[in-house]
Amino acid sequence: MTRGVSAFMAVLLAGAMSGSASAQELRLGEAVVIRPTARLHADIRTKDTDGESEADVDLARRRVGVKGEITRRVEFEVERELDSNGQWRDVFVDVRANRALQVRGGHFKVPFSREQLTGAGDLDFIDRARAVDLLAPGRSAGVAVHGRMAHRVLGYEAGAFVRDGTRTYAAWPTGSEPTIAGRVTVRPLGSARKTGRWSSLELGMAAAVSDLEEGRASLRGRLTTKEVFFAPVLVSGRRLRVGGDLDWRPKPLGIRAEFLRADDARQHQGLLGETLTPLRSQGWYVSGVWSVSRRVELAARAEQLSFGTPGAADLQIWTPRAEQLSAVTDRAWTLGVNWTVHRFVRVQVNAVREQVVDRSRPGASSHVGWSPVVRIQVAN
Amino acid sequence: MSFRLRAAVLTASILAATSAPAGAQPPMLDAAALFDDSQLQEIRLVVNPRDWADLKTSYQLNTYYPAHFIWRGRVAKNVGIRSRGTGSRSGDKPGVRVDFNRFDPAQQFLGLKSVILRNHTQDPSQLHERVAMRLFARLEMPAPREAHVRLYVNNEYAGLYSVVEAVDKAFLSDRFGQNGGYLYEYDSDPGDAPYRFEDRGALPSAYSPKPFKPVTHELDPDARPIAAMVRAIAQTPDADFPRVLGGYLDLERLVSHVAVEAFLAEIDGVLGDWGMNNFYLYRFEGTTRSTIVPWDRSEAFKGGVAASIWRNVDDVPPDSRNALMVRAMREPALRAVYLDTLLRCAELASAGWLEQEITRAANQIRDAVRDDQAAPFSFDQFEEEVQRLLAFARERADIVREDVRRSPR
Repeated sequence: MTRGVSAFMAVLLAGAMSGSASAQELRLGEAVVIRPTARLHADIRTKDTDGESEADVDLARRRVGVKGEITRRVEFEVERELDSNGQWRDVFVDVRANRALQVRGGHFKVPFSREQLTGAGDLDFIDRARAVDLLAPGRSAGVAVHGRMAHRVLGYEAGAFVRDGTRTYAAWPTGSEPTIAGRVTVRPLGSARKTGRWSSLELGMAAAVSDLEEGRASLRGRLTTKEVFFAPVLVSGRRLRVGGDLDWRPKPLGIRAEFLRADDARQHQGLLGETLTPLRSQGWYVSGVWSVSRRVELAARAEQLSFGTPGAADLQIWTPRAEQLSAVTDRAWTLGVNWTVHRFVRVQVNAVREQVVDRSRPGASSHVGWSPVVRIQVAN
Repeated sequence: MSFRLRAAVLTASILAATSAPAGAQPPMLDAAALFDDSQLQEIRLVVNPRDWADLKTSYQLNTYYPAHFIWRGRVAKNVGIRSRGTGSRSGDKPGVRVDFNRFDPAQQFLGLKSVILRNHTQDPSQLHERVAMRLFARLEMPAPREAHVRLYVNNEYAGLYSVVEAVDKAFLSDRFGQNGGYLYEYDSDPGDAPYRFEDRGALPSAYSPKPFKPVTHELDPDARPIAAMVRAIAQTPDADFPRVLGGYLDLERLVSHVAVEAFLAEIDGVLGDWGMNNFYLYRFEGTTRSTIVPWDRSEAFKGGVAASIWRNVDDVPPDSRNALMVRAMREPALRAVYLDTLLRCAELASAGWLEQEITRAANQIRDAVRDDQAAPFSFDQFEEEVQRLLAFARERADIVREDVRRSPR
């Protein structure tokens, strides 16, 4: 057994043996509280190999970490992957002046999309929406201010980061890619103190700007099966992301929707060094969840993600330096069941149907099919 | 030069290449004109300078880059180019594969889907391949056409290359009138164990995708006939050998092919010093019968003018002999084909054909070689190798004839 898995099991065992949340805490005097955390996601996916489907078990997430507080003013969080890459996830400190003004510094998620900022254990579906997964920024080192006002009617987060955290290919070594991002949420019809059908409605808006160095590849299109349906092109210059979202939870129903767009400049990326039309990557999703019982939820989601240059005609040729790129679109529908077996164990079953429509290749066979996915999540 | 200025110059060069004088009709050109070796051709590639620099730096990788391909005013836009070769790979003078249909599956250029720009980094004369392929063609064996070219990349002279016809579906249609069969490239990399048609068992996976790499039907290479052929080589009694093997392979074409290699003192062909190499196998539509197509003759002539015609046939230990050639040479009719083909080669050489080809080609490329700053050989080495080839052309026929005379039929 590897050291990483041993640590993971130790944390889970400690959690399982403890009867209450307080028993999972380590207190150092009155001021310091430390909570160990662990998360394991085992996914069973089917994949096509030589025309035959076969099940593939993937340990999608193996993470351990600690969360804690030092006095009521300072919170911290450290989380690390236990896979062979061993990447740090969140490593940050949050200092609170008051509810309306908090400052966070370290390595954490660039604020942008609602679902991107939702923890992996709280998602309604196994995979985040394609647009969120592929278009939203990732984690980066940076500093941000955030807070909530008027009993959570208004919330905000804004920060400056070393890069946008997107894991994309770079043809040449690139330096820092300064990123500024901000997100605002508003509850137009209620606050934390109000109850009622509409009080939980929350709207969000976000924007992020990054400077991309030459040699950086654009965002890419990938199906849930990991198959690439839009190969990245070379970009350089400004990447502007904008997004909007909605979250409404009139129990037992829950409705979420988001729209995301990223425009990648392609300065001097033409074959002759000319500046090309920016690549536009955009997508949306609408999802609903129905709580059948305290432990069982049914979920459904419709989504779309497309890549191309605005106004491009059909039958354009894709190259990494193509002047125009006609739209390639992935449309997906997901049906799911979420079963909370135990405080630490959750089982999710999703069926995903994806269809790729490529305007540059009329008549070309497009990927259509249902892919079942099962996730067993163990976390404290 | 700033990239803006460079972009303007390159744009102008493309416009100049694509625009014809008012009222002028572009001449009818076909692939034969591209491979016409009666004149030195000129090909221009327009590539983003960073891509070209990256290709040269990462020449061991097969990364494709977009480019425009220009020849005699004809432009193929958005072709895919990549570094290519095995021993000939070079970062200073990259061998280049040009796929006209890499980014646009429907695009062809003069009916071609791809061409090779051979860099000649293993041959100081830069003539081995061309002269060898001319001999195959002269003996009416299907061989890739090729011509020497001055290659310009972004208007800068990149060196003397050869544009070589790719062995692909277009080649098959042109030579065999069909392209629906199974084409395999014999794929031997440095470090691979030498292979000479030894029996590896009945499983097709023992033969493809290594060493018989599928070029067509990549997703369903169906190497069962290859496995059956190899088993037949090992197990068929002598009396049945021509009939049984003839069902799998054009044996006369194979021994003729090997005879040409032997005449040219080839060291990296079917009877190569490191096992088999440098050929394609094409299995005709709806049959189990294949034929052979030559590839990459940069190592021709390197065995020396005195090389035996039985080199690597019976002058090596039994486990280093080619199993198919050993069986074929036991068959009198095939042995006769082998020796007769050698005599035909000798006849051509005696008549001065080989010497004329070498002289004509050397004169054609001499200035381009002198200007080639990327070549790994000096101009003096070029001249020395040309003289060695001319001596080979004059002396080889008598040596081969004497070998044939002493060989029992």
